[in-house]
Amino acid sequence: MTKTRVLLGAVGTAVMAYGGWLLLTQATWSPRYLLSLGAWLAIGPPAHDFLLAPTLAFAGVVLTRLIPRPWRTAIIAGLVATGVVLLVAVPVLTRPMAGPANPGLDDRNYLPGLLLFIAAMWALLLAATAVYAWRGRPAGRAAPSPRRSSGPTR
Amino acid sequence: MKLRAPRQQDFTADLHDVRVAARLGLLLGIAFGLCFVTGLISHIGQHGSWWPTRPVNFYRITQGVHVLAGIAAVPLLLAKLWTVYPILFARPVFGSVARALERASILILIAAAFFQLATGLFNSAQSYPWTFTFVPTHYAGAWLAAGAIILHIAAKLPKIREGLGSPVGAPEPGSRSLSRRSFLATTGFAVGAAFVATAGATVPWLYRVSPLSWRSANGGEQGLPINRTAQSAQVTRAGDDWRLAIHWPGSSKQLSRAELAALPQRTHVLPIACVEGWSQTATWSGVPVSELLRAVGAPTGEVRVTSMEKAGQYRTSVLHPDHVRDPLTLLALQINGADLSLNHGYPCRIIAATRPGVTQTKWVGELRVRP
Repeated sequence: MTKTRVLLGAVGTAVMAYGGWLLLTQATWSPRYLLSLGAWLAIGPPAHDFLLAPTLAFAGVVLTRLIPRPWRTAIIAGLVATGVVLLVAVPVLTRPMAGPANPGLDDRNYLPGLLLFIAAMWALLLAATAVYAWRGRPAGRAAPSPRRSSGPTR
Repeated sequence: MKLRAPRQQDFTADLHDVRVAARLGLLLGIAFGLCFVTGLISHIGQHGSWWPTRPVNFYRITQGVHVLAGIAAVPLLLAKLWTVYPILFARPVFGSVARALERASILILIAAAFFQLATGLFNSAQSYPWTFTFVPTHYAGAWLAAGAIILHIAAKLPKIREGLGSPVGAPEPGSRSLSRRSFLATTGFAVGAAFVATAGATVPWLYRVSPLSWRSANGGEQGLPINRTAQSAQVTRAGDDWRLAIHWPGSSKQLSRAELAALPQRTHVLPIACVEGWSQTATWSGVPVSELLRAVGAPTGEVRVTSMEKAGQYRTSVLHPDHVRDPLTLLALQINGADLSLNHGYPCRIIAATRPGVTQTKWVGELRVRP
């Protein structure tokens, strides 16, 4: 396994270096260019680590304390899916610095369809959970955990 | 209550577990792998010296996979990051040189992954909130992300084996958090929702279901979207004095549109597929390029197509010899039974099997044959 890891590490470093070299050689050395590229490259990790993840952690703690099973899982799944769909929708909804919409592309009013989609998704999810709750937990789900990881195995 | 920075031990939910992380990591690796491979294929399609002519849906499928795998990667990446989030707060922060390097590589990995997904999504909406050039930067970012992923796999290989080698397991007794299984199911549900919400841009039977499809159902002009209007290309309608110029070593020939229309016309049903992931089938009629060259006495070979566009990086395109010989490669005069509108490339345009949309040159003014 050590050989595989060393080989993978070397290949990964080389591929990464090639990407970095491409970025450097095609860069325009003007503040306007570098600020824009730098911002888009740098913003992801802090936006997640210090904004999105703490918000989700807080929401998770509150929701798991407030909502009983099995509704808890359904509501968390619904919220996560709604958040993801809204996130993916940001470009078509906002279209910053875009040209005029082309005929047949990005040219419709997205919001009504999006809200309808989210409503349908919730209806489906809650209906499925209601059926599940009404029938009760199916038998045979509580098999003992075969192995409990110990220590910081993450 | 006194606030303090969180510690790794504060995260007690079942899902912060190597079994979940390894499974999500595997799926994320597959999604990014698909993006990388299909991205390279698209790069070859636009810049390479060879490109296949069959299957006719080849580029439509590879580019559809590229965009949809990228969209599926959004929830997968967020779920994966949430699973391993506690490790961010592990102490000591660096400890050893190896730890410090690993953290640095993970920073590059997350930055590059975010960059690729965000720029790709905005590009699919034809929105460019940056000052760099999208195509070469997205291409460079792909290598950066791919390398960082390979390096991450190298660093985590024992953990990956441990995680994938053990079953997800039943919920921990007394735990109030989502079980590992529920968390994976939640992630899967979010992936499905994001997929259905967008896939209509390229999957025909989802056109009317996907609220975020950037290609509208039956929208556009003459039943097909327009990606570059005549106005933005600064092209005006050609008059009766317009001539198509065909050059080859030693000679040349000029043809009016009436002369093109008088040649035997062929009709083919072909999709047009854009790098932005949308695609749509249309019925095209015109003169096969191979028959056109034969009719004017030109040799076959590689053909450089030049548009009447004043400027733009896609003003010219190259038809490789395989495409020139292909009977499906048309100099099209009609779309869906009517003359091309100005926005669709009047007086004539190239339509060939499985070529990237930007190389299906519109407003063709000149063909130059290199045998």
